[in-house]
Amino acid sequence: MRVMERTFREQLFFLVLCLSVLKGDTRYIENNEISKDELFSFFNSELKRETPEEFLYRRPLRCLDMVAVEGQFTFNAERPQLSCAAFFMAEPNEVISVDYDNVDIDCRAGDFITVFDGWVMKGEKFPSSQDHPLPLYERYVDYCDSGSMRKSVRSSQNVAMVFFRIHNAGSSFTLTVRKHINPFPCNVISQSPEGSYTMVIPQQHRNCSFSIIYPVAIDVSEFSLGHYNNFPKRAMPGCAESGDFVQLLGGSGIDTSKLLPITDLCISFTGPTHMKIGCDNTVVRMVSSGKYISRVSFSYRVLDSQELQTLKLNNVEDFCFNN
Amino acid sequence: MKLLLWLVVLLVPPRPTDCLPLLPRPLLLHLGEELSLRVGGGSPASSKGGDRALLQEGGVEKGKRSEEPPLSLDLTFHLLREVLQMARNERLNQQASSNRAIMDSFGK
Repeated sequence: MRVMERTFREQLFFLVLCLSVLKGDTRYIENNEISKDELFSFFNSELKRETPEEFLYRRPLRCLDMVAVEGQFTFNAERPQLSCAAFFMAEPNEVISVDYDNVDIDCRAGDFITVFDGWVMKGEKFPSSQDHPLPLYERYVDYCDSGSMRKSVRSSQNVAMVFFRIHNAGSSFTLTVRKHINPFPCNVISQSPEGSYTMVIPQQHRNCSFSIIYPVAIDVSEFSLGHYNNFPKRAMPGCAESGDFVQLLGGSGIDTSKLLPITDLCISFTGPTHMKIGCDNTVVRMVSSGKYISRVSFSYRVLDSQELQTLKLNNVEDFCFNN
Repeated sequence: MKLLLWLVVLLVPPRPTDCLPLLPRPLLLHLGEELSLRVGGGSPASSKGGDRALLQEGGVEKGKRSEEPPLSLDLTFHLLREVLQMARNERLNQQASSNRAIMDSFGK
């Protein structure tokens, strides 16, 4: 009798449990209206932060333009425009995506819209071919070649640009520019003539550069090569034999492989190394073998006209006047 | 009170709805002189010159690892810095507008 009662009780409990589940009286997960994302969206490493359509910044795109904001930029050809280009720029820790929208051009007539992964000026490219993961021809993405297949292009660093040519008045296109976080920036062009930056290469066999398109006074405050277990590195006899070092480069172009070396740093140190470099482009370039966690910290400010004049007077060589 | 408000509206200069920074005229003319687009690695073609269209003629064939950029812009560093400064100003203005809109929505 007792066994029968226990069995009946268990069956009754089970029945009540099933009814509760089916009726939905058990605890449920409340969907917070504030969060419109799905429950497990936080597992997605790409944070969704697209600006709603009504808040998207919009303005016309000019034949020569520089864009440092997210938004939609529309080019309407009032007359044939055969030589146009727009530079895109983001913060050092961001990359840029460019989406083609509402493209109305005549590819067969010779129109083109070509996005380049980097900047090209006077036949020189940034990043250089040595420092960029893609071969040169893959860095150009032509709408007329890839149009419907590839409506979005993402840069590998904080700069990109677009070249376009329109033969017919009335043709138009829109580019939507967005920025995305780059957790490990490698090649950077500085937006401003002054600031500070720390470049880190986390045990990767690659070369990274930070380009400042102004004549600057630069202070390198720290250069370290950390082992994975954070033991200090022994000083190497010379930079040429070291696979890990920092170069200061200068010149009048944007291709870092064509700039002239000003000095090399290959021994870990803490303490300011101060230099004034009168070049149009000053670059801090870090070469990493991948054995260490390489890090260099520096600050910079633009040289005023007096300092530039002093540099010119004090230097015999005609190479960018550095002290 | 209404009359006073109307007077204020009429006297305040209109603000542009977009934050398009206006290029000073000397800079625009200078751009016309200095800007040229180089296509296919040849000598630069001026913006008002003929259509060189070397890209269409296969200046760089896909698969061929040429280091000469098929498209390039001849621009001085001076002009590059000028447009960069304009872009920075635009970014600051746009950020200020965005902040203003956010603060306005907080106040509602």
